[in-house]
Amino acid sequence: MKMLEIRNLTKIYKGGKKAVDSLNLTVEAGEICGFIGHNGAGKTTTIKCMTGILEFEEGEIFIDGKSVRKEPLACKSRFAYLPDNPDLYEYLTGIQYLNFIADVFGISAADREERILREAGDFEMTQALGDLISSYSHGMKQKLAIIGALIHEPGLLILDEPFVGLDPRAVLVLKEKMHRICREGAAIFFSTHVLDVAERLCTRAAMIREGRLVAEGTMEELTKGGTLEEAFMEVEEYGKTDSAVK
Amino acid sequence: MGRQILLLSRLSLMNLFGINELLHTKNPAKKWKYLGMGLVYTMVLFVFGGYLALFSYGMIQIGMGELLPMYLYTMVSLVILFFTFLKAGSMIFEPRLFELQIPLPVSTSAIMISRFAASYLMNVLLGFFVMLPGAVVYGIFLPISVSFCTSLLLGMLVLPLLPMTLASVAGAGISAVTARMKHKSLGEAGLMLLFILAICFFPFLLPKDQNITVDLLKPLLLQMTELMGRIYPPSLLFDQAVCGNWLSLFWLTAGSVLISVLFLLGLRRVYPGICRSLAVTSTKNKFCMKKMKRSSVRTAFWKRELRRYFASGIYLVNTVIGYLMMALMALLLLIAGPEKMDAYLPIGGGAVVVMPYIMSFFASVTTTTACSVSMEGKNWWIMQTLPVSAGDVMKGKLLLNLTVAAPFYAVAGICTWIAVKPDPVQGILMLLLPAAYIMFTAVAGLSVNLLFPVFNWESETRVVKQSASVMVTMIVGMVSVVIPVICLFTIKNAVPEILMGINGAVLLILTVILYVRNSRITLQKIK
Repeated sequence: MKMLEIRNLTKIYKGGKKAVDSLNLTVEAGEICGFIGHNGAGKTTTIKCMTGILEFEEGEIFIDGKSVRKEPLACKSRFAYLPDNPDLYEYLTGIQYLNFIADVFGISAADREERILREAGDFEMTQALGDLISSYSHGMKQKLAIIGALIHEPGLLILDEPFVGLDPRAVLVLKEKMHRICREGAAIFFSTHVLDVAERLCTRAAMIREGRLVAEGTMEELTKGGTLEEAFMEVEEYGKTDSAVK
Repeated sequence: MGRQILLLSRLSLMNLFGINELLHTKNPAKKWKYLGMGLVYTMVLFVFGGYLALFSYGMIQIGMGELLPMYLYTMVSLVILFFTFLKAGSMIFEPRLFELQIPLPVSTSAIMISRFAASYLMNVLLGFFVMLPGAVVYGIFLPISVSFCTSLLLGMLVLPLLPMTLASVAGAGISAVTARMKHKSLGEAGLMLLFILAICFFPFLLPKDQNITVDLLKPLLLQMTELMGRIYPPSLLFDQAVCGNWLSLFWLTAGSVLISVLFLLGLRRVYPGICRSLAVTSTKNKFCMKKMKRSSVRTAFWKRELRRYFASGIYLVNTVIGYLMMALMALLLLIAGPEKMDAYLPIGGGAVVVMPYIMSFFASVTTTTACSVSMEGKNWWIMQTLPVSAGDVMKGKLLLNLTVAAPFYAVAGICTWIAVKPDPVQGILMLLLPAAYIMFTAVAGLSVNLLFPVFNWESETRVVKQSASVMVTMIVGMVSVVIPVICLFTIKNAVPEILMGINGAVLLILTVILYVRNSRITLQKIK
């Protein structure tokens, strides 16, 4: 089942810069797809188009079979998004923020209590939930944003550089959770610069360069016995890898 | 240190009114938006300047031209005192900027002085814009000398120093007191409101033997300016200086500079402490999960808006002041009795007719919605990615405004009702008209903010006080009240109840149109 399908996505910024150019991509349920590219390649722009933050000129994006353009609310209720810099409501306490998210997603009182306790416990955040978010460190905000993304059990998790700012234990917890979510039938699409993490975590990866998808496939298809780093450098140097991969 | 102050002041000024973004943005839509805002500011300045020129001309025509310099000087000082006070906490003691600047190899004094300097430059400009039209009219109709021009120029340069110092002392005091409080913003807002009310109602507290009569405009103005000189001696010094008294000019200049320097020297010791304590947030040692409750989306948004509102002192003070004045005016009417108001009104009906418009005026000058979208700031992505419609987001913002306005409206309504004892029709209209204005201004404020949103801000002052949306909403609110009032006073044999009814109906239609439009907006397009 396709959880994410991007067809010919083109995003042109005002001023004429083509940030994403005819991008096609599919992520099936149960897959973890890494989105890899250099700075300014178009990763965050693609993600912002998927999540409804940015409008796009051409193409179509489907989340769980629903069009982001035609049924934005239905799409948004199926995915959870974690931005690269989690700017959260600093005037709320951690628990107020999570309660707000739970209200918006219509989670029952019993379910939210159980999920918040579980997720916050896993990320060692329970004790801090009564504090204002403004008193949190960057890593704590990141953890809270992750908890907020997980409590409504999304079908698709869209993460922009999710490991930046997390402590080693939280990275491990997040990786385990990502595996568990996928085993339960959801899909994960995340951008990263850390190729080692992507190589060990992802079932497939997509590489983007100057807004164009230059390589995509399973890890075996991309690395061909080598490493993801070698494949990425090859893409960076020659523009694309084996055409069969794309 | 001079270079450091210069660099930091330049940095502060670059961020004012989004000038830097206008110069460097590659987004043509944003450029047009900023140009539109610039146009609004220019128009406001021209209207204000025109009003002051006319006022000055009027003063000269009734033979009171000599009082003009003193009068304008005091007015500008009061305006600066008022606005600097509201900004002092967020501009001079802004903890976020302090955190950004303190790791740089610059002295704490340089940071403090640069912020004071940036504020000073803005106030000098404000002073010029207010004083200049009056000075030009004065120059055209009355003989002027070299001493007049010199004193005017020097006076305008030193004018902001004293009110700024006074406002900063109050701001520093409030920041120091509230820094230790658990609910800093609420404490800060409360003290700020007290200070503002003290400024507004100070003339009422003066002893009765001042014998201010309002029988004639001329003696009233004479006594007012005399009073100004006693309350605020620099205005008297300025008045004497423009008349050729060089010693007064010296005392005015030296006194203003000296007091400001002494203030800055004193503040230097406590400045870092105040900034740091404002940034510190308390943390609890243990958190115990309580039984959770599920709320509807609308309630969740309303609660979030309420928390946002009470977390920001500057947001609260700047948006509640109109409603507070509305309630206080009604209370004043109840205490003083409607007969005093009736005696000065040129139309029949008196307080019962005018009071709904006075209430409506105060209800229209401030609204929480005019900067509520901008206040989302860097959190706007959350609204854009949650599965909620624009209507839900907007309803939350409107509900907040109604929640804030409701208690003040209730007090104002009850007090006015008891004071003027209207008949049933008048009573209903008296309550409905201000209510219609509260709703209209809330919806209009939201519409304007959706047109001119500013998300990229470091300090809340940028959106609460310096944004075009707040200014445009204020103008729209004022104009919407002034037009029917003009009709009321100018249309012969007009039945006030019918005019009020038409007024309310027009407002209702406009409110519905804007509400529907706001609810259908695409959140992605708001950036």
